[in-house]
Amino acid sequence: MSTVITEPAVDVVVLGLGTMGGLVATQLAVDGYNVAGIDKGPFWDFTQDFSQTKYDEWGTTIMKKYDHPLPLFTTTMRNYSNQFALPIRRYTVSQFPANGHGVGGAAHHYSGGMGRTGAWNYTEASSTASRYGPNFLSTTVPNADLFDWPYTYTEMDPYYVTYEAAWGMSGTNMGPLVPMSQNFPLPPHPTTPLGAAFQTATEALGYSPFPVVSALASAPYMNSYGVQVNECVYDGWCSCSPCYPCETGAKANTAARAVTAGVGTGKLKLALNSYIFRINTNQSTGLATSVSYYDAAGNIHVQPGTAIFTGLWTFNQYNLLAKSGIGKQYNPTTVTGALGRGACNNGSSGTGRTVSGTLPIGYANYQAGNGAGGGFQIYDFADDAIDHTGMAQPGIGGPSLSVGSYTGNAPSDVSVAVGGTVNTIGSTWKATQKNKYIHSSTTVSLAGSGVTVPTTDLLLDLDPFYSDYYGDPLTRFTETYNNNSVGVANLITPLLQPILTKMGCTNITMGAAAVNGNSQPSSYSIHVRGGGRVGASPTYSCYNAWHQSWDVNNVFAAGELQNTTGCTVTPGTHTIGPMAYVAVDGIKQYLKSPQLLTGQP
Amino acid sequence: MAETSAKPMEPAKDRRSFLKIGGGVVVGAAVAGVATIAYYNGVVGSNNSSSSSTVESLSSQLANTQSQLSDTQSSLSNAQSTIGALNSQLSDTQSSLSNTQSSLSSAQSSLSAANSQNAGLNSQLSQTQASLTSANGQVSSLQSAVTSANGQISTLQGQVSSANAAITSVQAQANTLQASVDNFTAYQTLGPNEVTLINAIASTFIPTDSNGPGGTQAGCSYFIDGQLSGKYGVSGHMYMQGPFIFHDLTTAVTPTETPRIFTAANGQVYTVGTNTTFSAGTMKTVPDNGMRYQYNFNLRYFWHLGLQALETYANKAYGGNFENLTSANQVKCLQDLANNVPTQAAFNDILPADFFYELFFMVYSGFTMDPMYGGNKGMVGWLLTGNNGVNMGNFYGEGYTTKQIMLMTNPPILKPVSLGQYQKGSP
Repeated sequence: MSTVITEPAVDVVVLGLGTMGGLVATQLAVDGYNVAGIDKGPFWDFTQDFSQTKYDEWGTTIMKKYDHPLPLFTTTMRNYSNQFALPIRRYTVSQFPANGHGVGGAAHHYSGGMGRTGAWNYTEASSTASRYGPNFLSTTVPNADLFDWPYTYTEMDPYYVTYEAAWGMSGTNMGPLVPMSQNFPLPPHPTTPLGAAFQTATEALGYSPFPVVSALASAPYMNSYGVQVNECVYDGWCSCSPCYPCETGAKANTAARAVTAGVGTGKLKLALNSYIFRINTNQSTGLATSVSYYDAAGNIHVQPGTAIFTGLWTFNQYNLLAKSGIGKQYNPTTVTGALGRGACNNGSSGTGRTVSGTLPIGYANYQAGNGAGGGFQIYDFADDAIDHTGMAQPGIGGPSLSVGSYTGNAPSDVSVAVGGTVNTIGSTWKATQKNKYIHSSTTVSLAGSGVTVPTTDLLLDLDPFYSDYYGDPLTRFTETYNNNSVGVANLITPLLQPILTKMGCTNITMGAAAVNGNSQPSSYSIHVRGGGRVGASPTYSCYNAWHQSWDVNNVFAAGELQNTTGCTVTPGTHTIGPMAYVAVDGIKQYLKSPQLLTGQP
Repeated sequence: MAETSAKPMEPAKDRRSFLKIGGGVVVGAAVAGVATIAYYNGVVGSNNSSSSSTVESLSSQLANTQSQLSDTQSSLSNAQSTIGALNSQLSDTQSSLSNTQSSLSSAQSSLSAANSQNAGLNSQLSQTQASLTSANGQVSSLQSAVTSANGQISTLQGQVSSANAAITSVQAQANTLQASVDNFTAYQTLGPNEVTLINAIASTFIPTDSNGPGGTQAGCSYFIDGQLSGKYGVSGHMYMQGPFIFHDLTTAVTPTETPRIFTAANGQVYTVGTNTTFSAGTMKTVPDNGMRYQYNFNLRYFWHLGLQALETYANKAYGGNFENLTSANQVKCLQDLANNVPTQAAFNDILPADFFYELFFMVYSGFTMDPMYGGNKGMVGWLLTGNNGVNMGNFYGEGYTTKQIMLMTNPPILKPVSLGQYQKGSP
């Protein structure tokens, strides 16, 4: 029989010490609150744990030696409710959702590609209705499940700035289409010749290129928590689809930016290698009282707290809330309930459309550079910048485009290894592998695409057949794609051809028009978003504008589960940043005056 | 003409023979007429005492003679005309003769010049002959130099041959030494038949050829053995709880396991309801998908069953063990697996395409992953792809930094560095 240990009560129990939990725990401790931070993994010491062993494609990419171990738990998946959902049993390359494990979370191994999402994303639903009419998407995506976020981009700007200062982001700013009250705190990384060519061409065409935004420090930096940050050494073993951790601390994550400072205040105590399995609630008060977790020996700990913050990764947060009975489970047949509603992933049922051309600019795939730097980006076709009026097939959103980032951000032999076919046998095929790390020309490709639109058939629920290591149900993901992007691709891609012409590309090829299809996702990525959304109403959302649970008012949450809609720029690295600080403000208000909060951040 | 209308007369002596030039016939006729007149004048002088019959006869003869005179005069006129023509021809002839003489003179002059040239050419010929003789002499000495050089080449070739033999011998010794210091000179898990088969598979995917050593030489079998002996083999990195239901099923699925009914603290109940049949089977996947492996045994056993099934199929379809097939049939046999030619039931209940995925995945990884795992021996995989491994630009003193390399448009070929070398810190 395992022992039950009750820990001393704290003001706030923080679940997960990744990007969300690490910042919330640190900020609250710095602001004088008693915090208990719990994580299922270890506290990696980047000065020791990565420097001699990360240069190992097999161990890092396939055996995932730094990441979440699947025997602990995984996710089951299907496309339709009348299918049996199967568990993801191992990591592959196309399915690399290497969940984080330990303090710093998945940001140990991300590419570090950042970027605020533009103002339009926060009011997608009402902006589309007012500009194009309330039925704009009804033929393309009849079951669209779109709502506005409960706050605006302008309201988020100061929180973005706080996050950017804590992270030490490199760049200038994002130009006039994504206005920022302050520039990024660190300068951009050196520009590649290809990036410079893109910058020159887009400027000449009247667009507003800006250096790609990076979470890798471009210079030594003392951040807002007093943590000294080292600059990037550009060793190239950096990017995500291998998933390399950073041995210098230049890659921003809460282990290298925050938690040490939080612990240093004396107000933050850590429980590591500890697997959280319940938020305990009092059914008569309707409030959470404590959190239960297993330690590495299998003992149960109970950690009481006045408020609870979950920064667990998307599916993991859903799983804990569902098991803990926090929120009404979504039913896609009746479209009732909000917990598990709106979870979606980037992708399209139809085909896309790309325009590409060749430039005689050589490059190497030698491991050099980092996962996010060197290139330039334009927001001029993103969001609703291009008029969607009169589209042959309606769709919303538009792409943010970048060209020229470092090409040697990770080795790529394993991505060939998982691509065996009848044609990858023998000397003729072997010859195609010769010197493929060295190139004498570049293909530049640009593509128009829409934003991810959640639909009412999407579902997160608890799996009835599969269990985690401790016997609790796994999360089951029912996901489809839709055709929102198809019309957008056909609207925008032709507008991109002049950029390639201006760059001096030859062999410019415009792909065939995008067409509707019925392609469905065959995997999920770490950037699944939605499922426990923030929103103005509890009918379709789990959290209000302060990231406070409608159902259990002393539970707060931040992360991609809270994404109300899909966003033009991957939210899971940058747009979730301000969420953590909004939740901090909400928690402080709650602790001062325990109630359901009103008003706006 | 006169001679055709001339009356018959006593034939005279033909005196045309000395004047047979041009119209000799006409002249001859005229001369004959004159001669006849001269004969007749003598006859008339000696016969004065003749009678009138003689006068008649003479008058008749005179008429005839006058007629003949007329003819002769006509002939004379013709002859004179002919003489004129002949004179003209003579003149032409003389002119031609004159030209001919002139040409002859030129020709003589040319001949003279030619003779002079001939004399010069003869002189040159003479010199050339002398040079030729000299050249022949040089050729001769060069030929003997060539012969001598050929002899040296022969000797050198012999030396190269010996050197090559020595290199081969030393290489063999080095391989033996390499093997003796190698971590993976023993197989921890694979049986000898499996090793033979895996080497044949590795060499089929990646042959040794002009682009370098192939899968066997690179040690793919050692890489695979190492993985099968560790976490990969026991599927320690995988979620291995049941139920085990297959991927990409298009027919209805009714699990035999009883679904759990989970009740959350707020009373929320999670259940599939009374219907536990999933009419649309399981999700469509792509080969590189973590949902594909739904076998209820670990990867070591998966390989054991798959290799066994492959040998059975090779014998059935191509008449022998895989490792003994022709190269062409080895390729076809692997392609048959990718195309699910053998049924799953005939393949130890493993989907052949799933085993094909794993074979290529592990062979290519064995070829290109860090040598510390037993494959990519001598970094031959990286030498093929151009992967620099952990060479940050200056491991061999090349003098580059990663910051330079990341901006290069004309990158140099960097010699690869393994993690072991990197940790050691020097070549």
